[in-house]
Amino acid sequence: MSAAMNTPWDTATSAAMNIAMGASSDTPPGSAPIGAATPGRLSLHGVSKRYPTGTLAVDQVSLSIAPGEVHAIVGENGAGKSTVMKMLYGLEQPSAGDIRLDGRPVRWRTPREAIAAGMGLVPQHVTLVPSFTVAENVVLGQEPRRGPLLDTRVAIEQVAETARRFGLPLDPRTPVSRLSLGEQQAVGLLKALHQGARILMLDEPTAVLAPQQAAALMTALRRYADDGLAVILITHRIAEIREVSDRFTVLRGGRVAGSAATRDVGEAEIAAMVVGRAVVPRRSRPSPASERRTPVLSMRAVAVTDAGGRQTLEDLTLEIAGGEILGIAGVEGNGQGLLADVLAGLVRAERGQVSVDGVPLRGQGDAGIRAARAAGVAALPEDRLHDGVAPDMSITENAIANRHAEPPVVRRGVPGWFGALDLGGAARETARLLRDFGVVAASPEVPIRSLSGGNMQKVVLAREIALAPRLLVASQPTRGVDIGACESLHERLGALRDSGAAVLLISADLDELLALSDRIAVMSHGRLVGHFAAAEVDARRLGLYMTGVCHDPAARADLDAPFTPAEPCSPSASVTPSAPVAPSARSALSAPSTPSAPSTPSAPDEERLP
Amino acid sequence: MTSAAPPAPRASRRAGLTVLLRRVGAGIGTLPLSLAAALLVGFALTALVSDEPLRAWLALLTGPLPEFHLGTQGWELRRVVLFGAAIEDAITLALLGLAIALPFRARQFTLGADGQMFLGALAAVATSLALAAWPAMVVLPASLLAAMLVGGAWGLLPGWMRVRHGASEIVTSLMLNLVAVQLFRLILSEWMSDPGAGFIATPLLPPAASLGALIPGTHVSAMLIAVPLLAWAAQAMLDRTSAGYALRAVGQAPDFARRMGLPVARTVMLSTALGGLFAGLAGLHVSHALLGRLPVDLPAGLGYEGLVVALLARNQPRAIPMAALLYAYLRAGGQAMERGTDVPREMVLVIQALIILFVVSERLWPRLAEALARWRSRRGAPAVETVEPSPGVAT
Amino acid sequence: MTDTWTLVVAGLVVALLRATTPILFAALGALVSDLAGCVNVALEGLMLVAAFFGVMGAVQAAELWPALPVSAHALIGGGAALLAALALALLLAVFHLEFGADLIVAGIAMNLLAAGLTVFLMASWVGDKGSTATLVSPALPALRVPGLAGWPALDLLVNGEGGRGHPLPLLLAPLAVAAVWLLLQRTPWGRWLRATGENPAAALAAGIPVKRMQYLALLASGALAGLGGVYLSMGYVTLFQADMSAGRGFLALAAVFLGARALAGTTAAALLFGASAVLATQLGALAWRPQLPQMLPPIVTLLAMAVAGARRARRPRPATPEISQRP
Repeated sequence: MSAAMNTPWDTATSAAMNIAMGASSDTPPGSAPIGAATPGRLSLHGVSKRYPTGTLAVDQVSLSIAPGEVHAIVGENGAGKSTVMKMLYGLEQPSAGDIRLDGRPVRWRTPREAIAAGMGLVPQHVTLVPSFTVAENVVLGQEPRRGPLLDTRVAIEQVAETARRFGLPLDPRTPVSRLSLGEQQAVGLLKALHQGARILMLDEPTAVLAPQQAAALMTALRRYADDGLAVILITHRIAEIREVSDRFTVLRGGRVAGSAATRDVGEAEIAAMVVGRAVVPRRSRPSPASERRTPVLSMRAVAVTDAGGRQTLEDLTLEIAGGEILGIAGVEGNGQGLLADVLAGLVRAERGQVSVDGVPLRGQGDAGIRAARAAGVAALPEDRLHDGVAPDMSITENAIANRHAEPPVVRRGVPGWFGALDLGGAARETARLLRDFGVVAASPEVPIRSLSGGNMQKVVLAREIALAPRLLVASQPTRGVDIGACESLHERLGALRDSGAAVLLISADLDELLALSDRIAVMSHGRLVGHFAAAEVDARRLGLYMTGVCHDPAARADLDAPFTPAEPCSPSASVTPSAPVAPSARSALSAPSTPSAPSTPSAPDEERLP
Repeated sequence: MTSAAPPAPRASRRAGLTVLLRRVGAGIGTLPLSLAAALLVGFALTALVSDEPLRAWLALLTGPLPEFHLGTQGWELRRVVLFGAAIEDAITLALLGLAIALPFRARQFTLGADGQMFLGALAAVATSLALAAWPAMVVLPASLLAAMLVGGAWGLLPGWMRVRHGASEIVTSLMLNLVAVQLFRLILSEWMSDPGAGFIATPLLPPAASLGALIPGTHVSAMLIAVPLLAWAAQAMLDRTSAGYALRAVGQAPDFARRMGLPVARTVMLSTALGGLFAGLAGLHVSHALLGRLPVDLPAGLGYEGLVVALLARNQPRAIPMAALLYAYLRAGGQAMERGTDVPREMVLVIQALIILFVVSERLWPRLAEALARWRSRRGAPAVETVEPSPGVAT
Repeated sequence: MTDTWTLVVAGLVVALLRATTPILFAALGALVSDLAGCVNVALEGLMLVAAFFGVMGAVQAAELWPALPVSAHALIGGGAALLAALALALLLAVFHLEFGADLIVAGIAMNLLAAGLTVFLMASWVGDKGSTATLVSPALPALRVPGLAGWPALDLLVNGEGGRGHPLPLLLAPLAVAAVWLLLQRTPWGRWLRATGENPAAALAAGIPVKRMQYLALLASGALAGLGGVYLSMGYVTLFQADMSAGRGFLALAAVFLGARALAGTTAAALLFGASAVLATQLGALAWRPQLPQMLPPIVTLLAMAVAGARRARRPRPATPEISQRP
């Protein structure tokens, strides 16, 4: 990476800026070419992190990574992976133990110090400045300067060069707000590489990528490692470990539960290390065939555009009968969120009809939500902490949220809105609910944020089914939920289905979808591209449809619709000039071959691939 | 991570003090600490410029207290004027505090109490003057209604603009304050000014409109009883009604509230309108109980002091009367201080500002406690639980 | 005939510049801190302390070093004013960034503090609670361009009324606008500022010292507001009056919102508000009620916010409309 011209003015300005900004790096970032003979063995020795609240997030973790190695850190949500990564990036400091680079203890108080030492981070939720371009985001913090002013031209040149060198075709001039999630992730990766990272950390990078893009990313990472970088991959997907890592470390409950070279261990053993016990995925009982199949939910030719233009729904037709679960599979960002919002009443369909039990849903905003609830729609929102609960209110207050203006929560006698609440009765009922669902809490009056993710979700589910809904829209219901609560939630969903309600299950967890659903529809680009009976499809096939490799143009998910035929699989006609991804992608599934970019080529107005 | 040796008894007392400080720093107990700190800093400032800081502070702290005298006819209350002023102020401030606290609970940071108060007062005076011939039973409720309606309507505006146009209620309420004050002056000087008065003001209010004095010699009226009742009612509404629940939910978790089907728009508008209603009442108190008329140069800015009261009470309606009393007492003390010594009463403004700062600084006392703990541990006392890292030492 | 018209126009322009300058300085300060994600409502107080300490500093300098020329006293006073404003801004920054105080509340506290402190000190040092009229305080040096006697309109424009020249702050105002533009658009510091305000997580991950940026932003806004305050008490008017800022700090905030948080818009809005003030005085001279034009700036701001909101609503609605955002 070429350095900016070093006139005395530049040096003086840089020095002044550095003093003002408190940087303390020896080597200016971005100056060390990768593959140089600089050693870079990173190791953690007995590192612990205890937060001021008392939580012990990381407990005496020791591990080491050498240059040229791809090391996976595995564990479930809450096992401490993110905390370790934050400590390796200067966002947190260890409470005990130390981090060593080449045997020398290091202590990074700010990300700036970590970056200067060669650490690079691609976070799970990529943090970019929306109004800046790709180049501006990539050089943010280390902008090339001409005197005291920015040198935009040099910045664009340098970023284009880095992008080319690392095989990430992105146009430096594109405003970041116009990129898809996958492309934004690539920008994050580009940024870390441009900053001269020698130790690259990626936190759940494939969460927003389709299987084929994920495979391409893995290939790229392998190449970087072969070139001399050390790569730390934080993930909870065992398949990824098998595919790309040399060694892995399993974290459970903040401790190291196991560590090995990847080729020495099988998938089942890794899973056992992660979970701590043998887990046998259970299929829920197949639903009793119902003779009268009238749809509870009916969506016909629904089309919507969301304001940012990032998500759309196109010609969506689906129906769910009482007593069945329809699963929606698809890479995040292909319209599932919008679908959930339409059903919740938040967004109105621009074309087509949505109806529940024959009652059309036509509203939007506050009124639309109320109409949907009145029609019998309940929802488990995707962002639990933000949309599903009021974290600082008590469990009781959360549990009555959807019934706060009606009896029995409201005492009879005083009219409507200024009605008095029967708090004692609500508390008793909540206590009973907690017992029923197996939630252990000090009392119903504690703030709900003190509950774990799984327990919180149980309360949310209990609240939603308390009103005997006709349709439950469950978005990522077991995200961030521990395995025990997972099983309990799955049982409850099954029970709800058995009681005659319709359930729409949106999930990124294909195992969950396959285990719970009766039928599965695949969404891509806001359309349905596949429709299957859950018992007749597997994850591999779903993956093909999720990425546009296969495409069923006639896919509909109403009750009479045929299932997508097994073979042949025709590629989507709407996949654009970057179609070269398609043929090599198919081979990428069986064996990662030639490296291909994890995102589309550069012209900013081109149609976005998922 | 923690040192293993059990602390010695003396050390454990010191350690206990640190833990206590930390707990105090975390709980509501910081309020007296903040007050004390603010008074201390104010005292230091006064000492810099005044010749008699101690006398000034004594006047500040005890000035407003009345004196009980055992006279020839039994117990008498003397020196009531300042004491009465404190109570009157407290009533106005309590109403203004409610005017700010209720919208705040719904996350509406509207600072419009000033404008609402001005217009509410104007409406009340206009009503009283118009109905001058009627008996008190008609005039007073009509004026109350006028004050509440106009104040409530003006308070509704920022909420409505927030709901309908997504406009920041901070800016809209500030702008509406400016408009209200100008409107007040315009209407008063154009249509309501008393030609007979020596200065631009409305005519004196008719006797039917006066709220009698509970404590003779002061302007303390029946509002003294009304205010705690109103505060209690507001608290009951918040805690025990559907509307109050919706208000709190919208304030604490707005997206959650919306998805639960709570009437968010209606709740936001209700919260700011209620705030305006209370500010209108404050205006009526000023015009009907305190001044007896409305001058054109009624000083603006009291609404912001309502903010302090709301803060002191942590936006809990039931705590507002006490917070208002405390605050008003300080202001009256300032007057006593100014009268008796060479320290002007604007020092009280400085103290008020400091109180605000210390009360809302969430991390001030915990950080102080931690600094104290670290200082102690460095002086050799065995460390209680620290979160200091020990590089290279694996426990 | 045209000569009189150009003279009148020139006079109006001068009046416009005189009225706009303090609002503009404060608005620039508001913009800088707002772009960094810190809404500064303490502009009133900042202007007030600068105005007060400018006068007191200059008077004190005259007492300590009588041999120096008057302009030196004035400049020393100006320096004192800026220091005072910076100190208050630092106090605000410390309480918000170190001790976790809510920025809006702390800002209001600063306004109260400034109002109380200035009157308190004025009463103690000057013996008068209303103003420092009893003191002789200098004006900041003015720039005068000679030789324009032949073009009366131009002379009026460039040298102000009476040909005495415009005081330094007024001339600095357009320079300040240019400097802020340069800073925001063409320096890394400006990028870091905008990143801090738009996405602090991204800024932090990029290694930008977010807290330090916010400190600098608040201090910069203090310095700019201080310049506005210094203009008030040491420009055309050479004394300090209680509550001298008279709501200009809040108008500055409104200017930023009216100007859609962009530099050009903010400057235009500040000019608009200055024009309203001029209108108010002109109408007052015609014995019209001054309140109507004084209502103009806030009403215009309200209408603009309503229109902006309506325009946002007409665009396709976002999937998850937020009401939980603060400006």
